[in-house]
Amino acid sequence: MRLLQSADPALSPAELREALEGLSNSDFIRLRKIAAIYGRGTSLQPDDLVQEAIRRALDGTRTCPRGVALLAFLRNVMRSIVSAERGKQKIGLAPCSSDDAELVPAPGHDPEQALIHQEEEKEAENRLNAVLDLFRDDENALFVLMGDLDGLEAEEVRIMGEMDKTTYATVRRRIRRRIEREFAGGRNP
Amino acid sequence: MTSNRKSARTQLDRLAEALVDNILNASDEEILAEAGEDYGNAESAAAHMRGLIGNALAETDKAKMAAARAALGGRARAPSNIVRLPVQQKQAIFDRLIEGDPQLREKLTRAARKEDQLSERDLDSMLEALRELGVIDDEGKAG
Repeated sequence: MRLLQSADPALSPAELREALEGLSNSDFIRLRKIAAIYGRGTSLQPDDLVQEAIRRALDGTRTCPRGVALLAFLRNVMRSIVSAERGKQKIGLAPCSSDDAELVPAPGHDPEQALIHQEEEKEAENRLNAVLDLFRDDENALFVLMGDLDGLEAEEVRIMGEMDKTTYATVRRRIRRRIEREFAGGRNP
Repeated sequence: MTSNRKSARTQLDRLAEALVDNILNASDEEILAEAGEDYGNAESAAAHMRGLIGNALAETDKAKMAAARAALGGRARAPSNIVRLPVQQKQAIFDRLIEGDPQLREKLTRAARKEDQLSERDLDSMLEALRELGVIDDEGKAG
């Protein structure tokens, strides 16, 4: 029986339950924080997002691969829940350049939906500017943030910014804490 | 200030991933200290989340129990053929069983030994149980 269980690529319901019940206090707090970040800009409250992710794991809608940390798995589940929530009004969009600089409605799609998407993009831009505005007087933080927005690797940003590891870690944490406090609990910026 | 190279939505998503990475990489001490700052009490904040997960587990258990009950109820409602036999036939089956198997006779309930006091319902119950045990088949013949 043990051999059969270890060959199973996903955690069994009993194993998942045991893993959930074994989470530490800090892990519970992490789940809440992660949910608050992913849920920002949606109607999903952090508690609801965490519960929905757990529910989908327990009912088998999502299975946790063996060897993947439980929090990493739940993170992925929460991300996909939010993505689906946003995708409810999403329409197909075709890039008009290889830079993905502008998006135009794909042929055959409803212009009204395209307008809704443009409005959503405008809202996202406002939220992004609100975040950047928090750090307008913090050069290191802005540098790291711009690296994040451009999709650069952390180490690359650290070296480009001429920060040692301790300084980089401090700046990274400062960014997160400022954003959490400013937009805590899923409140929109 | 906003980069125009990617949509704002994409940039916000990248930022979210970087923030979540930072949360997962933070030490337990840092996380608990932050919870103390944000909620006043890290223990109660963790307890709140633990309660949410407990609720999710309880809901899952309830759903499984309801599904099991529904399945069991479905099976229990399906009558076997033996209880549809005429009452005299069922009585004859019962008499044959207790006469032919002294051990079985001993195992039957006090009500079975006083079979003349059995209701048809009692008789059905025992014959059904014997059928499920494989002692008799659906027509009352020895299994």
